[in-house]
Amino acid sequence: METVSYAGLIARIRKGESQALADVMSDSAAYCAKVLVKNTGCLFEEAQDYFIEAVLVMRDKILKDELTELSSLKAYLYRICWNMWQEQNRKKARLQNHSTEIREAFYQESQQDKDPLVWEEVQQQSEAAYQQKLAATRSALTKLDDKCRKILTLFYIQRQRMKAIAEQLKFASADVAKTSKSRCYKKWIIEINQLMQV
Amino acid sequence: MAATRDDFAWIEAYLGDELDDSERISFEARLTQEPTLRSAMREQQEAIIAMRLIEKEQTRAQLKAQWADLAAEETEDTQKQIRSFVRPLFWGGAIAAVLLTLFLIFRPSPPSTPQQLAMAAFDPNPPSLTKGGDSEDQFSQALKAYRAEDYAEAERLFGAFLDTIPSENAQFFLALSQMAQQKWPQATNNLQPLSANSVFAEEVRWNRLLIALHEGQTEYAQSLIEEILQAPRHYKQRETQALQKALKQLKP
Repeated sequence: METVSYAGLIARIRKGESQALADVMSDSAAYCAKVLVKNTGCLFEEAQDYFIEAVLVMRDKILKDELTELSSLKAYLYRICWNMWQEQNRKKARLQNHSTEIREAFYQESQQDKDPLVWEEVQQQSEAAYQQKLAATRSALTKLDDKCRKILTLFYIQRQRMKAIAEQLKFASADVAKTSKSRCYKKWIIEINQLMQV
Repeated sequence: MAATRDDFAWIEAYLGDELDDSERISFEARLTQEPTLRSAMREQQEAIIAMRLIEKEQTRAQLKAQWADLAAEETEDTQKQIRSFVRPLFWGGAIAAVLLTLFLIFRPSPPSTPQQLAMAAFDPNPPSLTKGGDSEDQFSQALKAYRAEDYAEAERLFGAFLDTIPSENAQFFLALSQMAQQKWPQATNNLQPLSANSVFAEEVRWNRLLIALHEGQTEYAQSLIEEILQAPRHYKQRETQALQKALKQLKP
């Protein structure tokens, strides 16, 4: 990437352009990983994982409109990497084992929601139950047609408004897109429930 | 627990953030009073979370694949950089060692104090030891000032950079910028946290030795000299031997 227009980059990430994240990688990956290795003594492979997680965190913030401008992409991503490394070290000190990885992933992911999962509630279900949820969700998604998958992805992951989704997927209006989204959503949830009962 | 047809739509709207404030408040009140509704809401919420986790996993895999491509290019670039960095560093180091030895042997008026010895031996490290970012980065601007021997400006810029990002690179070169301005206590403060297990451990030891000499901390300087001489292949071993010899000659 020759020059980076962060406003442009943010807009491209918001639209869900996959090349936008590839451009972020080309711009900042090597720098952040090298500096992180140098400053923390972590392995290069670990720095790679931290960086990829930092890109995902940045994308989440952009999609939630919590990040609207950037003065330095490298510095911003490096700071996330650094914070994650510190957090990981604190966690290592706190926890001796990581037997609750999937449950913890659900819990962590929900913390950006309005009504986040409560850890005590999460612990009432087993790790295997969450594994099953993940597998059922994956399987139910593959059973949807492409348009349904796309509309759910745009709404729940890219967090786009119905008007933008209608334009992108060529629905007649936002209301038509919304009806279509509800139909797909219901089909998907019912499929998951059925898979969970098997 | 299956939700009723109507509740299903309510949950979807709630999780999709499609309710207005009054609808949301009344639905949240129901959630606190109806465990069945809450349980159905959690199930659907977890499905959405699972979808986000799955998508993240796919994106992670794509980014890792891109990383592999980048790493291949990077290896080639790094090898080129190492070749262009190591050769001048080797010859530069060799020439510096010869010059220092010649200086110590044929100096017109030999240093008569440890401070003068320290100043004679002080040689700010080349900034090529770091790997900075683009020219517009604050860090790169600080390095530019350092290269231009504008140490006051370099000190300001490295300091500002450290206010935003912790970096051993910046801290080390901040300390050297301060040493170049003879700000010994400030330089010590910045070198101190780098001492243990730092990638700059060798450089820190050498520069702390120079500061100790300058500050008249003879015993501490001696202990650093011993540490350096005992360290296998320390990059300033020859210079330290020369310093030790010169220090002995200074003693009355």
